[in-house]
Amino acid sequence: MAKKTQRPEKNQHSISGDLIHILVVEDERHLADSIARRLQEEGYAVDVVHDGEEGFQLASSKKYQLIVLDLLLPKRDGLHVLRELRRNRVQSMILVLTAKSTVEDRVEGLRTGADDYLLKPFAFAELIARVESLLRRQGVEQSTILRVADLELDIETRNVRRSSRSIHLTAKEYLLLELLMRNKNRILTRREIAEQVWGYNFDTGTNVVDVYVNYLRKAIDEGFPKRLIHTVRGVGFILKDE
Amino acid sequence: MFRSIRFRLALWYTIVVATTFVFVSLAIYEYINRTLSASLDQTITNEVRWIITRLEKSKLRSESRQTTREDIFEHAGFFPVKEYIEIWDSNGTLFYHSANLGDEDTLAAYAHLPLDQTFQISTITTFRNHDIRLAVQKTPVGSVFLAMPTESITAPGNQLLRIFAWLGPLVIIVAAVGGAYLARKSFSKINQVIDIAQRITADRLYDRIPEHPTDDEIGKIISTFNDMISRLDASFTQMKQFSADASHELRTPLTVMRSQLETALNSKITHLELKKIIANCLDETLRMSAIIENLLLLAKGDTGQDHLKQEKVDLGKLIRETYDESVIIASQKSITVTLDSPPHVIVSGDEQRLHQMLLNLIDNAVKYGRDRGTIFLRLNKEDGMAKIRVADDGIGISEHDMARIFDRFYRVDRARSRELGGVGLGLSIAKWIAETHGGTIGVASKVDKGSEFTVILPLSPQ
Ligand SMILES: Nc1ncnc2c1ncn2[C@@H]1O[C@H](COP(=O)(O)OP(=O)(O)O)[C@@H](O)[C@H]1O
Ligand SMILES: [Mg+2]
Repeated sequence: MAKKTQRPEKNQHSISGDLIHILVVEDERHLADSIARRLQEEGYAVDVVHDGEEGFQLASSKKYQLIVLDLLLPKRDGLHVLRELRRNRVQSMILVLTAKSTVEDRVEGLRTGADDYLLKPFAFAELIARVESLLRRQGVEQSTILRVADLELDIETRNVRRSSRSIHLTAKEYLLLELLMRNKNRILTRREIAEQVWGYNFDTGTNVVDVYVNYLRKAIDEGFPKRLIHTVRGVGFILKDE
Repeated sequence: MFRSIRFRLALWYTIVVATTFVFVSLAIYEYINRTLSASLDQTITNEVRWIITRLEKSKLRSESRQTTREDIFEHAGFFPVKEYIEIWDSNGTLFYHSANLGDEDTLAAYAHLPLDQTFQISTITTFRNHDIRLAVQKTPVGSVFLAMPTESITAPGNQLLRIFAWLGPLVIIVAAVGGAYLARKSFSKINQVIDIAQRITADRLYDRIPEHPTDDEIGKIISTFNDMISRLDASFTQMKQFSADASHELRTPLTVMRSQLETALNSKITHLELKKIIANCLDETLRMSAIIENLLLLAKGDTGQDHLKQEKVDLGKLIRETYDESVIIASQKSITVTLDSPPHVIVSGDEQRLHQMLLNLIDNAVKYGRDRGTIFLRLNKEDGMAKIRVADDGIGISEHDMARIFDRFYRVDRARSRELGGVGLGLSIAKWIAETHGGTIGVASKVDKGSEFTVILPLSPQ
């Protein structure tokens, strides 16, 4: 059974007032729920199913802008679902989730008709970024602006402004800010930041992350009454608006 | 190039052919010489005998000496081979002296017949410019000296030697060319084998050498080689599949944990949600531990690092103990476990592993069994083997799945297995344990009726 479509918290993404519908097909229930919850937070209307058969039925009968599809599914294999949907001319963008890491597997997925793939385990920020870029390709009007309080970041022009004052950032500072903003109200650990901004998958043992967070603080918080970037002692950093 | 087997083979071939040729030539030469000289001696002896007979006849008839002489002269004249004849009377006067000897020469000067002998035949090399074969026969009617040139018998042999001398180099050239060709021909296949062997790497293991139609050594090399590649290919594929599966299985709990933990770090999370997430993550951690533990066990088995004990194990006792445990496990689903008093059966092996194998089977029987159903445990001796059976009356397994349930990570229903805490390695491990004990494991099943797993183990030699 498909989960009831849940009302998004804020109606940020829509085509002329209509909600953007996303279908999540993932048999790992906890994972499916986390993904759905996160997408809803972003303002999408999300349906969740846990096997390939139901996924195929729902994707064929209802018009989704995007489908998040796990490859290894009970009842009907993900690749099979993908192939059948494409044969039936279902136009939805399809983002494949796969735990298979070999190049052949990815190529096969893309050739079968996937629009993009994401290797498990992934970061939510990455998932959201992919979803947005796929929807943009789909022609869905999307705001390219991330906003926290009076801080704005345009992911297309890479312009950063706070209270209509333009802020200049270096490339790494920009990436760090985008990551923080995409994860607003959530603590990011130093290691997560190192991995997603610098691509390090190990403990660097240096305080590079701290140094850059300080640069960023100077650039966006200095001279404003309200601080946005906070240090959570012993854990990491958080960007929040309250 | 000179060190290659191919070159050496051609060289040896040539040497052998050349040597054979020389030996055969010499043997033919020797044979011809011998037969010819034997026939020459025979001719000479015949002639001598004829002359003696003639002399005896003339004595008997008291013919005139002149008649006898003319007769002998005539005979010699018609004889096809050149012969020197000299006859001495018994009183020591020269009776006949063939003209071809000339006036000064006498054959008696060349032959010295010992006193006690009446016949002798020998080769004289000091006669004029050619060798002769000279026979002497002393008889009461006189002494006969008869010689013929040996030329007639050495000529064919020498002729033959000349032919052989011409033929020799020709034979050697043909042998060398033929040897090189043969070596090339047999080595072209081997070179092909070498070429392909060099090309084959881990990701080209599908390559095979074209099969050789005949059943010779090359054919055998090729098929042996192809067999070896096939085995390598199979174990490589299996290994690749295994590591892909393992990484997939480990990534799944990691993904769940990562997504849950990212959510947990949200500042808006409630206390209750946080607790739920922590509980989920704990579950996933336990699942990862189970996967890793089982994987390590199988990996140890694969690489032969797991040293199984070889002790006598009383299967009857073991199954009774396992039965006690299974009653507790089965009680959660109100399943009844039955075990007839098991016989005394001794196998040799590792008790802990055998216990684990039984538990894996019973665990499945409970998990995939019917609520309030029954599990039958059986142990008996059959055909000199120990036979253990674990049967349930649960969901059963389809024909299609039965072929694959012993594969690593294979589950008929992943979601169901996962909910029940399975990782899909229980049967792989049971199979590995049965096989390292020299036994087998099998399954018979019917969907919705139930399944029966049978383990057959060899008895311990007393
Ligand atoms: N007694 C049984 N009845 C029905 N199906 C079974 C039984 N035993 C095993 N299976 C099937 O074989 C699969 C593999 O078994 P196993 O390797 O023990 O993995 P797991 O129990 O962890 O899923 C199970 O997932 C299940 O689908
Ligand atoms: Mg099992």
